[in-house]
Amino acid sequence: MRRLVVLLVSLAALAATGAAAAATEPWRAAGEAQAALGDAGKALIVDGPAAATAAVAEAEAAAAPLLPAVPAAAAAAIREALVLGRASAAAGDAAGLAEAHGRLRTAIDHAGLDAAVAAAAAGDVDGARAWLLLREFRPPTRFSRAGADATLALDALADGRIAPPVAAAAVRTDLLDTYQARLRTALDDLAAAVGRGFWARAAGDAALARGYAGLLATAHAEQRGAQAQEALAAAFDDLLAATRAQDATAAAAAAGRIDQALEGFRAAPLSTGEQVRRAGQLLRFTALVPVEYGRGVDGGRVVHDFEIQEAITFRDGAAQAFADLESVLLARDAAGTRRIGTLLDVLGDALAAAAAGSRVVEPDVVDAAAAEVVDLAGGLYPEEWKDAGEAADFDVIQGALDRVEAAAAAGQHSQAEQARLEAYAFFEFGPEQRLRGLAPGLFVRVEGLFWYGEGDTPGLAQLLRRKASAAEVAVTRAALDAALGEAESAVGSGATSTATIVTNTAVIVFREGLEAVLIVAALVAGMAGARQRFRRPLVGGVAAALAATVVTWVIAQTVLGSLSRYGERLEAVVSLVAIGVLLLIMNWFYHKVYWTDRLAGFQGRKKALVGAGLVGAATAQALGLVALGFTSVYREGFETVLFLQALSLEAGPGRVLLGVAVGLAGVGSVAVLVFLLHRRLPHKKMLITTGFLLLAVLVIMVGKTVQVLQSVGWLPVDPVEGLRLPYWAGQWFGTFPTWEGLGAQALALALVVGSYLAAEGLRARRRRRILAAPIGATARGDA
Amino acid sequence: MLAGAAIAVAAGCGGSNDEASPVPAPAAAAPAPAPVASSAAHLSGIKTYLLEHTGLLTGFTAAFQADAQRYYDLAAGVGFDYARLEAEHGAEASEILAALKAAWVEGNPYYERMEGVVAGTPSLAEFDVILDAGSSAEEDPGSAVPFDLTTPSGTVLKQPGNLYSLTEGMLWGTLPQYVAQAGVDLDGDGTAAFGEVLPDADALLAAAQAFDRYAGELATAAEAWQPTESDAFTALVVMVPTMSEYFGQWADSRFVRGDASSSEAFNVVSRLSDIRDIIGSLDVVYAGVEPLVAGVDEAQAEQTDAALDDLAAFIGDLQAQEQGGRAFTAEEASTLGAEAQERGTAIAGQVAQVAARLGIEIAQ
Repeated sequence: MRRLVVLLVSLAALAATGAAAAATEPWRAAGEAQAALGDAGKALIVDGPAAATAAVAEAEAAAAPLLPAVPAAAAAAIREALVLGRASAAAGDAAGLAEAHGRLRTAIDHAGLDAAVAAAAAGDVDGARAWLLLREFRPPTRFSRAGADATLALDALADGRIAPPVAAAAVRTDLLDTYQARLRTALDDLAAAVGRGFWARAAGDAALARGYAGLLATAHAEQRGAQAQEALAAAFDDLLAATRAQDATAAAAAAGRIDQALEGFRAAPLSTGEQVRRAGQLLRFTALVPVEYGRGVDGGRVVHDFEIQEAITFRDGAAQAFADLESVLLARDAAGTRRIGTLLDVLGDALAAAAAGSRVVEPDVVDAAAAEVVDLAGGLYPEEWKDAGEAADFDVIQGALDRVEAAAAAGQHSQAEQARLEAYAFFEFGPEQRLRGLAPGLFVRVEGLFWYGEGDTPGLAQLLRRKASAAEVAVTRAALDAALGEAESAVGSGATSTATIVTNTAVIVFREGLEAVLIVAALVAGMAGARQRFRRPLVGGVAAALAATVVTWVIAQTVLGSLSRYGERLEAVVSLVAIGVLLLIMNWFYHKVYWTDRLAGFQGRKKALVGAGLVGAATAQALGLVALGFTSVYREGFETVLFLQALSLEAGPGRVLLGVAVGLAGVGSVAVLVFLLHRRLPHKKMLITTGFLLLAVLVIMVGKTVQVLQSVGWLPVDPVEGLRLPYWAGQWFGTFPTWEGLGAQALALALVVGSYLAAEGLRARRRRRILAAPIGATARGDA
Repeated sequence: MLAGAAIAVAAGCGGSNDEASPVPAPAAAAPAPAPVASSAAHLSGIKTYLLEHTGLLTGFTAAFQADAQRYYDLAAGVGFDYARLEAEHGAEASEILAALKAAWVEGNPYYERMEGVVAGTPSLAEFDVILDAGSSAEEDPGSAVPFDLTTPSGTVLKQPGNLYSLTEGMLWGTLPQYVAQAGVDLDGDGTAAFGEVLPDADALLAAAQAFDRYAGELATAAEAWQPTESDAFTALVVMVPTMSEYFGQWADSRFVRGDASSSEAFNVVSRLSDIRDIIGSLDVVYAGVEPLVAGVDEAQAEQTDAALDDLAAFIGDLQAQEQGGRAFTAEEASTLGAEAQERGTAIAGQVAQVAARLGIEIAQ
């Protein structure tokens, strides 16, 4: 009797909706049918079979308009699911109803996929959009949201930006990727349900998995052959049967066969360009895991949770990239590929344990595993993937910028600043090296947006310091995204004209070398007469720095990636040493030589006094001069080497070397000019000129060093609100609009000028004393 | 909400493509228009809604703090000797604790009804961690609340957990470290049932003070907040697909597991009620952006609206059943949670499509 009532209700519903079928949109019919069948599951739990049966009848009525609009096979699958649903509801069979629900959903997915792809291929944008509304989406995770590739492809098709076949391919790829992700989720959920003995849930998941596999069947058969596809389909049938029979062992066996058959399978293979990008991501992300981990642990315990979280993010990114490449890599070397998978799992376990605080492995272990992954992957990559790093660098930068925005939005501005510095470091030791040679204007824009603003857009450093709102940060981020997008295109499109490469290279070599040359030339010119012997240690230091630069070049060729871990810090330390040494030398130069010279000249006993002073401190001064020569040159040499090496990969060594030669010629000319100028000047004027020159270089070095210290997070960043300085002020004069930078430069200036004034005062007092005292006492006092 | 004539007209026009298409062309979705410049007028409704609820929340926390102070004063009067408190002031303590519990139960939905907005808005999300979502450092350092509590006696409670859970655990005794005396027959029925404890007055007052302070800060931040389209879309995309998490908490709570539950929270007000309230707040958010969605794609707007209504009805029905005395098993909770999760995932996916078409960023 109850079945008769249900049948009558169904027929009545079908009759009522039949007339409206043609006008009912597919999404509405599909959505209502699915919701009603879902409600049937709930009704069976809550109210029993009668209510569930009524809900199934609603589903049938809702689905009726859809049936004539979809291909016969899809319509049959939908009908079968509803029939199963009706029977299961009436019988109070929760597992059967769950299976019916899974079947209905995937049958609708199948119909939607086929129709949307076909409509897109035919250039029917409206039709494709309407059918696309039937789709499902990837389950969101902490790191990913539903993508919109298919939707955006249809927009591009509507605007005429892409052709129908391209749009159809994009829609197909998006949907196949989605359903493959859902297949994985359904299998995972099923395993969990079986483990807890939730058999109704397991049956639903098994039906879903089987349905998703059906969506991927054509692709699987194309890639693995018809026989493999038949075996896979049989395994899914067995899995569903096992869940209906509540047989955990059989379910596990079937799941094992499925896992084996799906190993390395990707329904929508990546394009070559996407493969190259993923290949770069796998290498870059993996290499960053030990960097973050090393910062996060110390002495067997976690000291910075966020570093561990970032290590996890990079590991997960690497694992995702590996999953996307696995099928290609398996075909090249199955054992090596599986080893990579195992190592990534090992890294994942180690990081998860550290995050949970249950176990902290030594950084060396993480380092070794990551290095092995990088080595293995690099060895397995086909030739066309080898130059895959640039795009991945931009991905890494974007990832760090995402963290900047998220932290700023959550009001955690210090964490946001940390992420900003990290993003900048990725930029500085990645794309910046090439960008400076290929598109210096873009480089300037990106730098400005990272730091103190570009045009009317404030810089991220400024915004974070004043705890700007999420909206303000988002505006700058958008501008930065646009600039980085252009930068990626510029880097990706490769070298431009020879003139551009040579000019850009020459400008960089000239600018980086100028400070060192000014210091060395001025001092060498000043070392005349008895002090000529001090030229040797100074020049010796310069020669050592040049040799070290060459060694760095060789090392950088093999471990360029690793150097980026230390690059900024090394630059910061060497710069600090350079400033210290320059201050010492200036102190010596002026107070022991210059002022003593003047004093000696005044007294008419210059030779004896200088000789006595220099002999007493010869060793220390010589060492100081070696250090000055070395640090002055090497602090710039390191950065220049990285830049030149990156650019030579892009533009070829010939053009880069030509640029280096031009730059060095410019620097050499300045050196000769300074030297000649000094030699032609009267001694006193020469010394004064040298003094001003060294002071200017010192102030520039201090400004740039403060900037480097801020880049590595060793100094805070406090922008001077309202102060805008042109880009060249920073590049050529080390003057950046921060209190720290301007303050340090002012302090350096005050220190030297104050030192001069103090020495002047002392000299005046001494002169008065000397004039009044016997000569021998004065000589001993100066020694 | 906006179905109507436009869809019907579009459906009529869609037929012209039938012959060209390999499959019968369905009623056409509206072609993508130029992005709508601003929906500020609609978004202001979200802020109004939020401010109404921050007002309710601060009213609750102020009253809660006052009662916590009364309880503290009572305990202080007997030198924090809880045996004496029970013996000498049992009735008064019982009355105050009953008032605190009643206030807590009444105050719980004030936040839940705006959680969708607060937790889904990046600039306000930290308050969700503080008030409702953050764990204790002991439970999970990675998701712990960002504050410590210093009690009137000077004891520091390091990252003790979110304030709703903390105060619930104190009042009902599911956090034993904050229970001064367990097994107390507060209602005088001759038995010491679940929740009949004397909480540590020192810790309870510190928690109540922090509750009131942070509720006030949230109200201030909400006043200053200027809702953006990105905020609204982010709230929908981030918050809607959290169904399985909430259902998991429900499945672990006393509402499903009874005395077998070891859950420290969600034992007093059913998580189903929270879920319904959260969906309600997201419905307000969606209403704010629906004109924007409809401007891009009428069918999409209608689909998402219908899906949200379905989800709300699904949850509402379950809640009504539970309130009517229907007990659910763990497997039923799992099955129902999976269904709700699927619906939530679909809604979030749909919203993400429109955000992408409009170029609106979804904060991660």
